[in-house]
Amino acid sequence: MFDFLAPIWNTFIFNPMVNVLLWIYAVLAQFSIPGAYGIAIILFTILVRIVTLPFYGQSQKAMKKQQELMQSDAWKAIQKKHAKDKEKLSQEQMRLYREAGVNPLGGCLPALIPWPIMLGLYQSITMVMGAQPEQLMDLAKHLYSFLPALAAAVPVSSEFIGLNLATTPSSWGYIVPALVLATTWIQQKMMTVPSADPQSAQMNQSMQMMMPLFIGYISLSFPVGLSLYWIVFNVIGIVQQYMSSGWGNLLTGTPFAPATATIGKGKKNVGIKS
Amino acid sequence: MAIFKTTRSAVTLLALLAAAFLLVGCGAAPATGWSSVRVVDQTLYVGSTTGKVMAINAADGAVKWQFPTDKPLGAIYSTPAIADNVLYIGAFDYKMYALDATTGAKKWEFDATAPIVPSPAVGGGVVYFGANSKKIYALDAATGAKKWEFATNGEVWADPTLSGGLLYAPSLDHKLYALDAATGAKKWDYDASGIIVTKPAVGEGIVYFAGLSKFYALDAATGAKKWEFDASNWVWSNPSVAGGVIYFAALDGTVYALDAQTGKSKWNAPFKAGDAVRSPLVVDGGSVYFGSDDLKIYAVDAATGQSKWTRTTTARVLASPTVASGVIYVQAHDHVMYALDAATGQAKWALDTSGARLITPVPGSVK
Repeated sequence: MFDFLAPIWNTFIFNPMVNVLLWIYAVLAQFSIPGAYGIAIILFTILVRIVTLPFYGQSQKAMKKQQELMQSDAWKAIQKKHAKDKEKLSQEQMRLYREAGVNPLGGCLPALIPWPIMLGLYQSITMVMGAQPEQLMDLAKHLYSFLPALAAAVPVSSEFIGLNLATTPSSWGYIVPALVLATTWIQQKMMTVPSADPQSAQMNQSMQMMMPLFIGYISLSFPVGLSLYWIVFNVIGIVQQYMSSGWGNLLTGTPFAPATATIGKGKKNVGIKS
Repeated sequence: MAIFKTTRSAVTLLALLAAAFLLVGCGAAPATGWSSVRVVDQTLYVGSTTGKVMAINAADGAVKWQFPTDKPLGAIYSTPAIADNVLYIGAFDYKMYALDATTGAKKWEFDATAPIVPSPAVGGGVVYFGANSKKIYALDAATGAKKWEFATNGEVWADPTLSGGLLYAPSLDHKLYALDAATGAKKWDYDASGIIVTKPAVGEGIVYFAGLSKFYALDAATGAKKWEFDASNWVWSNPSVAGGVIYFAALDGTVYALDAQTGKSKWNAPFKAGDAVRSPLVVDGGSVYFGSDDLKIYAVDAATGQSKWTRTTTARVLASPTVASGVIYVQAHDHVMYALDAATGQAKWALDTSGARLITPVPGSVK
C-alpha cells in the first residue's frame, strides 16, 4: 500500500544511515578495536540524537509551558467554575492556551519528527548486524557502490564486551534487558509531570510501569545489539531531560502533586474572562 | 480537565506503545528460510518456510508427513540431503537432524550450538556442514557422532561441496577452505576479500565460487587462481556448471553465463531480472530456471540468454527451483510451493505449506 514511499525512505533516510553506521564500524575495525560494532552503535545513536536535538528541545519547551499553564491559578479557577460543563471547560482551556500563546500540539508534533529517524536507525542497526541471511542479503541493495570498502567490512563482528550482539540475551547477558527496563523507567519517570488530578495521576503511574515492562520484555527476544541501542537512546534522553528540567519527577516518588505553580508572572495576563 | 488530561496521557501511552510495536515490526522480520526441494522417487522433501520438514507427493501435492508434528523448528535454509533413505537437514534451532525418509521419524540430532544455515553434503557415510558456531562439522551419518570439526573465523552460511576426497567449504571469514574429507585437515585456503555465501561448484578440476561481487575459478587441487570475473553486484546464487558453461546471478538481478575454462561471457548480453536473484540457478534441458525478488520465476534459454517464459507468484522467490520429470518445484517466501510445467510455466498445483492444503486457483500468471 505504501510501496511508493519505499524509494523516498531508502534514499533520504535508510541508505545514508546504513552507510554511515557501516562506515563507522569499518573505520573502527580497521584499527582492530575490539567490540567495534557495539562502539559503532553507541557512536551512531549519539550522532543521530544530536542531529534530532533541536526537535526534542522544542518539544520539551512546549510541554513545559503547557504544564505550567495547567498548574496555574487561572486554570484552577476555570476548572472550579465549569466543573459540571465539560464542553465549556474545553472551550475555556483552548482560549487559555490561545491567550498564553501555547499551541496544544506544540509538545507533540516536534516530538514526532524524530521518530522516522529513530525508526531508520533501528532498522539500519538490524540490517548491518545481519543476524539472518535475508538481512545480509538485503544489505547489498542499500550500500553505496562508490564506497567498496563498506562491503569488504561485512560481516560485522558481533562480539562486544563478552556479549554477542546478534543473538538474544543469555547467561549474564540478561543484564541488558534489565538495563533497558531500568533506563526506560527512569526516563519515563523524569518526563512525567505530577498531576493535580487523581485520575490523570493514576494513568501516569500505570504508564510509568507499563512502558518499561513492555520494552524490557520485548528486549528479551531482541538481539542484544538492538537493546544496546535502546539503552544508549534512553541514557541520552535522560541526560537531555536532566539538562532541561532536572530530575523532574524521578526523586519525588509520586505522580500525584497539588498544583502550586503560577503562570504569567510578569508576562501576559491569562486571567479568566467570563 | 480530568478527561482531557487522562485522554492526553492515554494517547501518549498508546503512541509510545504503537512506536514500540512499530520498531518491533519494522526492525527484525522473523527469519523465514529458503530451503529448496529434493526429489526422490516421486516424493518431494523440503524444509518449509513455516519451519517444518515436509514430504510431499510430487504428483498431487498431498503431504505425506511433517516433522516435527508440534511446534516448528525455526527457519530452515538448508536443503535436505538424502542417502540410504535417511534425510539430513539443518535448522536455525542449532540442530542437524537425521530423519527416516519414509516416515519422518527422527533417528538422531546433533546440536551445533548455533544456527545452521547451509545444506549438508553427504558422502562415504559422513554428513558435512557448517554453522554459525564458525565451525565445519563431519558427523557419522548413521549415529550423528562427531568425527571431526574445523574452526574458521566466521559463520558458515554456504553449502559445502564434496569432490575427489576434498570438502570445499566457504566461510563468512572471506575464505574458501579445501579440507581433507576424511580428517578435516586443511589442504589449502583462498582469501576472496569478501563474504562467500555460494556453494562451490566443481567441474573438470576447477572449483567455482563467488566472494562478494567477484567470481572465481580456482584449481581444485591447489587453490591457484585460473580466472576471475567482476559481477555487477554481490553474488548469492549458487553457480551451476553445464556443458562447459558456468551460470550464476547477482543481487541486482543480472544473470551471467561464462565459459567455464576462460571466464568469457557466452551470451551477447547478461539476462536482467526485475530485482535481486538469490535463488541458485538450475540448468535443465536447455533452460536456466531461477526465482527473483521481483516475485517471478524465470525460464531462460541456456544457449542465448533469451527469456522463454516468466511466471508471477505472490512473494519473493529466494529458494532454488528443482526440476524433475519435466516439472519445476519451488517455494516462494509466502509459504506457497509451486509445481510448474518446465516447458511452459503453467501451474500443475500449488500448496500452502503453512496449512498443508492445496490452493485453487493457483495464484500468478505466465507470460
